[in-house]
Amino acid sequence: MAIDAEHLGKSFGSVRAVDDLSFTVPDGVVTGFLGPNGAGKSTAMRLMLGLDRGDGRTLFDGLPLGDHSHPSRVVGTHLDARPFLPGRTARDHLRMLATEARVPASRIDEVLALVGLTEVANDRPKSFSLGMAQRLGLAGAILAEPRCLMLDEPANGLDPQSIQWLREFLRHYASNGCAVLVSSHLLHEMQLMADHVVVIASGRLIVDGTIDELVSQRSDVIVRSTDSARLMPLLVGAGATVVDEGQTGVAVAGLATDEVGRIAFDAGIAIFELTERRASLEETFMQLTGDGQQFAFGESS
Amino acid sequence: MSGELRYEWVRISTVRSTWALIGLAMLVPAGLALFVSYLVGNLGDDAGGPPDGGGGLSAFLPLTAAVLCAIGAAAFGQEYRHGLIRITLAIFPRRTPVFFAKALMVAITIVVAAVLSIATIVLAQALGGVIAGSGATWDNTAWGASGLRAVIYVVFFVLIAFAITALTRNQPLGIIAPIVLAVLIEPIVSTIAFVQGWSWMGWVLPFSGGAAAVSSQGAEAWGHLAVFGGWFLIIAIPAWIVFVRRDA
Repeated sequence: MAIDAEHLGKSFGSVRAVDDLSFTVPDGVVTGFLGPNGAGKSTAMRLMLGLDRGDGRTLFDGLPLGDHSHPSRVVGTHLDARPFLPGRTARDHLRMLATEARVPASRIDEVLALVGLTEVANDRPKSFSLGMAQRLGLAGAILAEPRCLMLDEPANGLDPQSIQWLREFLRHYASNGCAVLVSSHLLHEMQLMADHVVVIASGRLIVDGTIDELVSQRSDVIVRSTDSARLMPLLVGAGATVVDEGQTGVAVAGLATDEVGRIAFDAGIAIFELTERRASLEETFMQLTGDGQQFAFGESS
Repeated sequence: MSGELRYEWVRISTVRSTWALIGLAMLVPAGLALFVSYLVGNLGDDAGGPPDGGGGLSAFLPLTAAVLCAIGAAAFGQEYRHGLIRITLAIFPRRTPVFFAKALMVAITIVVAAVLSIATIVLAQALGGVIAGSGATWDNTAWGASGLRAVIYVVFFVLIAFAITALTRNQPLGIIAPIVLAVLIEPIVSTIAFVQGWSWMGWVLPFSGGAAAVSSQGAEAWGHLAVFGGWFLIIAIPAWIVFVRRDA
């Protein structure tokens, strides 16, 4: 089941927090929802769920959420770090969420075990750490086995083992044909977790595509040879953009390694190194959203 | 709306404060009733009888209602305070049934609590007489139409707390505002109205009118209760409209 967000918009006073934002969350993969602080990610997620009032609409499998007979079987959400009453036990919290779809008690035990909270199921979560709170939030999101998940910063407060577990769990969940939308600031983690990304800045869509597409556009080829001075014009002539990086070699954008190798071979230039230098998601993200951060740090002295 | 009602039942029944407040609503007014009944029994006929024509019940019910206000205010207050409202509305995207399910479940809970509280007040009054040696006196106004009005009075009182919280998203205000109005503002206004000879004021003030609905009889009593219910609607209707339209 895919999620289609269409022309979402929302203003707070004179500030346009989300502006004509349209994208699709495909099923079968994890979609990362990225953007700097204040980019409008959380507002957009609330708009998608109808929690905030604004422009546009969001369709879950072609229908607005309210038109589905059991919304909790359509989308599971985890939008706040501690979305529960501190005085209600973890199990009772899940019992409450289970009512809409008449989820059986056995499923509550199942998800508690899945997120590792069985031992504290009858405890009141006021003393839960942030990581335990995140696990309870995730348990609530997956309780009714929804076909879509929307999670806002679910990895905050989790230890490395839990983050790895979350990554594998979400990838497995998506692989069953579910649409999974995850916002996060942990770009390295998102590169491992997500296949598809939606990047926004200042409420507007910057990129909607696969991570491979996104990163490959900003990757280049490093070539170290016996005669860079003769090789560089040949590469430019073949349509590449080249930058001499000294001892590192020549950075070539616009040509694949095979093409660079063939050009050098044809010219009789020996090559010592020919490697693809892949940009990280973080580097790509910084390039894409460079001036889109609403609450940026000052320049370090 | 059955899903919303099930959700509300689990919500309201799985917090200890609900049960603690129902217990307090039974014990505190009953304790006071026991004390007053004991004093009246000891003083004999010179005491002038129970506090009012309602057999004393109307004197203790505001205390019952004040204690139970927190249950009404918590219906929305706890959800906004802890961000649960976003989970609730993601599960139940249609907001009108959510609003009415909350109001209905609060009302049902308060009916049960009010009946229990009235029963303990009546028992305490009788017990106070027995301890004082004047014998058990059963408050007959706790039964029939008068008893029904007493229950409805408590329900409206708590629902006003519910509506104020829904309107303002402020749980403390929802709890305090009805109590301050009932025990401070309205008595002052009533005193001014008495001095000025504004007899119609008795038909306008919600909480004084609500109490009068318990202590008076017949059509007048039901009229007072209708005015009290009207005040609830005056707050509840805007609260419902705002809840449906605003951001969660």
